Amino acid sequence: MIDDNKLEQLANEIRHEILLIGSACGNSAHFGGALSMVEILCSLFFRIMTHDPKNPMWPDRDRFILSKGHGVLGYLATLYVSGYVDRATAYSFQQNGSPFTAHPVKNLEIGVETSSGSLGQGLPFAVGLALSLSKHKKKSNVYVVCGDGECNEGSIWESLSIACKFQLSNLTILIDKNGYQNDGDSLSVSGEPKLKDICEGFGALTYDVDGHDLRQLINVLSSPNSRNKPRVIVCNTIKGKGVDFMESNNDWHHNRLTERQLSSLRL
Amino acid sequence: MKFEIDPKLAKAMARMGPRAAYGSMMYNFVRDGCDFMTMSADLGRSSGLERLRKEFPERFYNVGIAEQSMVAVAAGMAREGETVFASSFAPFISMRASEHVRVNLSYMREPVKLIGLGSGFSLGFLGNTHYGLEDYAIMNALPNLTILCPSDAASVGKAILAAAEIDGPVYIRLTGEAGSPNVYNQDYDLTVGKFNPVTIRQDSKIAIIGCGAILSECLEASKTLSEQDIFADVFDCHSIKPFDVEGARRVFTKYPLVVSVEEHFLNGGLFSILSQIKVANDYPGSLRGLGVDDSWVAPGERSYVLDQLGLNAQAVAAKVKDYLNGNGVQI
Repeated sequence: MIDDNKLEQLANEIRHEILLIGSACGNSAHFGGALSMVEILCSLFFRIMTHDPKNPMWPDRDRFILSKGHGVLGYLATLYVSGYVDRATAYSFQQNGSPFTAHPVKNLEIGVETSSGSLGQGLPFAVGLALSLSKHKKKSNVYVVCGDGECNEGSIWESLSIACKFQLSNLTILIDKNGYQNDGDSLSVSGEPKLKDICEGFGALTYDVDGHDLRQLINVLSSPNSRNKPRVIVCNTIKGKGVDFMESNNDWHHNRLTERQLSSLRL
Repeated sequence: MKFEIDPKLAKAMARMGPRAAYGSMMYNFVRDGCDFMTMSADLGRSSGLERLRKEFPERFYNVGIAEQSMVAVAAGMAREGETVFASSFAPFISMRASEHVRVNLSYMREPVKLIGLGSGFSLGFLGNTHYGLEDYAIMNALPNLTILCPSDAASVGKAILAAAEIDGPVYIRLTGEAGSPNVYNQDYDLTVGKFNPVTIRQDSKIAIIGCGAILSECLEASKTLSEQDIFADVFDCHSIKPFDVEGARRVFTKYPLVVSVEEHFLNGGLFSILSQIKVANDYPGSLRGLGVDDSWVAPGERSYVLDQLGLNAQAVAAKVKDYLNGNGVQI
């Protein structure tokens, strides 16, 4: 098992790759929401999930669905660091002909389970996966990352309701609550619903963690779920985490990182 | 799975109507060993699935009133290898859930089988919110889908089994109501992507191409015309996608007058598809389309709506005669 120190290093590595890959493309990319979920992805891919980057279509793998598809840079960097894609593929991001554009495109051979980008669609798809796996008594779990902005979409709540009705204890929903969405801070754009309370009201098992604290994330994610309920982990995060001029600055929701800005970071 | 239409089955299914027939046949198929799953967004009863739900509860999933999520949940199940049939009224499947169909079925090609219940004017007094007047135009705009429109209740069984054989997503459009007449009393081949010629004479100069339950009006119209020595062959266009392009070529080159009849807006419908093929290939002859023009209809019983829109058998026959006589169509 990868120890805690190594896990921290991997999180840093993913964060660095987000910046390097995102900058190398020469265009605007979604940095803020990628950087906010680094520890979530790191804990899933390097500690929690059962999977094999050398065998991406292994039937017994845990399934990972990025419902907040615009977080693709974080996802791609994680796929690269964990060995699903090679360097050339990773650095083809947002180049013509690349399998990686600004939103994930289903590609099971390199670990991308779904096409997403249209918000509110990954979660119901994940519910379907979990429903089928549970029906066949398979051991695989399903992990979904949603955004707090994405939770504006009604289909998120439809799907959570369905997941609770079918008692999908093999489903874990991580909400990357970075407090911002495209047009600004969530409070001013869409209000700030009490996500944990709402999810609990639907019947889910709910947790509230510091989404940048690997230990907290791993503690919750590795605790056994024997309650016949889906789990929702509200991960309190900082948009743009790790880069001082990006943190909680929504200009970096989607922006271009120049070479000069990149070199100032001394990665 | 063997499924053949005979007069007894055709009669029984016609009495039930296509929605109840869907549920009844799904029950039979599951009972006889098909590994089908069914899914509904709180319209299980309206899909005729009560018996299946009671006797095979593990084969019926009710997700509540959540059509868009139903489509994506069904896609997730299909990814794991299930053959899922998800049903709701046609507008809720084709429009409420449209973008979920686009991403999950069209773009990702998850092989879900969607059932659009009560399409056309089948839902009578439930009105325009429940009518399906643009469903196959919308579905046809999406790559990778197959679109089937069985023309009577017994043919729904054929469409279900054809859909299950297809390694890809399918939309099945159900039209007609309990008591709508049969088109087929005997077995026939529902070959996906091929017109089915229902009545053919060597000397016919007119082809009527219909889609769904309105085909029975077309057949009746053809009969009426034949009593006046005007002969029109009737083709069942049960596959909107893939469309029988070769069949269309044969029809356009053989018949000087081709008339399409549909329970759907003309915009983007069967008439649009045929027009596109005709223009793109410079086919000869005349094409006319009967369907719903660009406006909402005054709701009522299906037969009332068909009467109002000039889509019943007598009106179709009269239109065909008009086309022959007054619209410059030369036979």
